[in-house]
Amino acid sequence: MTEKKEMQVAEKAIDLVPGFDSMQSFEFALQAANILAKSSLVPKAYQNNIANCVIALNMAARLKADPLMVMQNLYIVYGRPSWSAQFLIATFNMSGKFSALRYEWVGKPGTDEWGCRAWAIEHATGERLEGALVTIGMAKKEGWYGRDGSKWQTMPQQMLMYRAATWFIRAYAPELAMGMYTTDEVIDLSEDEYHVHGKAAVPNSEELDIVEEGKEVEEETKTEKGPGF
Amino acid sequence: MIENTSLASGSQGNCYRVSDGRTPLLLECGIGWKEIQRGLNFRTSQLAGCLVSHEHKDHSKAVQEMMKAGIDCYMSAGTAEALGISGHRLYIIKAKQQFRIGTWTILPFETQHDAAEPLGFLMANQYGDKLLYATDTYFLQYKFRGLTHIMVECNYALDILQKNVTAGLVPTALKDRVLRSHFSLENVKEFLKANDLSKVQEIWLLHLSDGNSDAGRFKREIQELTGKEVYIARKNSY
Repeated sequence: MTEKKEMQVAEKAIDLVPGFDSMQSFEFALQAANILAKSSLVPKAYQNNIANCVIALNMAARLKADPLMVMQNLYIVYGRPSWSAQFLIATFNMSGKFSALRYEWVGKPGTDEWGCRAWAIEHATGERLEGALVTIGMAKKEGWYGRDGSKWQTMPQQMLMYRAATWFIRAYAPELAMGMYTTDEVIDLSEDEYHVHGKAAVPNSEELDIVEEGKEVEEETKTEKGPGF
Repeated sequence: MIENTSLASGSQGNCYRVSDGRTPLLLECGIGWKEIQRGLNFRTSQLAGCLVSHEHKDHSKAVQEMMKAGIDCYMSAGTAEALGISGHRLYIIKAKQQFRIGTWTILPFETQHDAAEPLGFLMANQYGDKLLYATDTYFLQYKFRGLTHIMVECNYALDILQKNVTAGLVPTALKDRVLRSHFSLENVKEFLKANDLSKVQEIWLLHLSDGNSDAGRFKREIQELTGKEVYIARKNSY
């Protein structure tokens, strides 16, 4: 009887995931976040930032992914958290619910009709699921093609595949994206108001100032020239 | 005391002479060399250097001639590479690494523009002046302490831009670019509100768009917001 109870307790401990489900899981998240925040191996956004680490841990738990992998693939673009497209595709392929993503091409490369559609087989039903067709013409009409920072002109094939994949995942496995966009989507998003009136317009808390130079530094710069060739 | 002369400001070219009485510097050289010579009354040899924010021609047009004339030019590695220039008059600077030119200590910082490695400059001199120079950026991510002079782009107002787009005067693609590469009146206000302006003596609004700005309104609104003296940089003075 005692042995059975001990086993149940042990199983419960194993089931405990860092997050916001219970006080225990939150405390667990805090403990883990404390350790991660002290690491110099985690990306800068998480170093000494326990709150960010807790969020990443919770996301990792929900995705059943490694926390470090989540941290390395969660980017802040224009002030918004977003997944890298590769990470989203990898998470989908590893979900176990579908076959790996495949791509179907239409049209001739170099034309506006050139496009890509992602598809996969749902294991539970054996059904072939098809995503929406994404074409170069669509990218142009939506204004993605000419945006600053966008890769549509320099690597159109890759962008067609990424966009087709993320749309497919958002349609058939939205729980994996957790409502977040991918980095390339954020760059392409037509949300002008966000840049003009949104938080991105407000300076962050980092204060920049000139450091008063000590004697040592002054000696170094006696030549009164900046660093050069 | 900082003396500021605008040789050119706007999409046709940008060039400003800034001096603390000891070390005159040129901020940008985005007009022809002859215009720079004329604008400076041919006293170009007195310049201690030229800071170039990014490679776009309206900021760098005369860089080759400047270097040939023996003027040291300071810019990021990305800007120099994009301009395809090299030589002993070229000084590569990095964001957040301060350096000195004469009486000025200069701290470059990153700006947000569609250029290779654009920079803004925080400049302090030995007399307690602290000048912020920021142009061609759609927002500034940093706050600055103890500024006495601000030279900042104020390219457009959103309502004027929108009106021009609706009227077909500005193509949507251009509007998208402007929104992501230039400082709007609205964002300039946000930036000013976020900073301590208690020591600021002058605010210079730079790089006003030809069609999407209103100099009188911009000056009035910034003055009302800050209570400081506001100047609009002249489009050209050569």
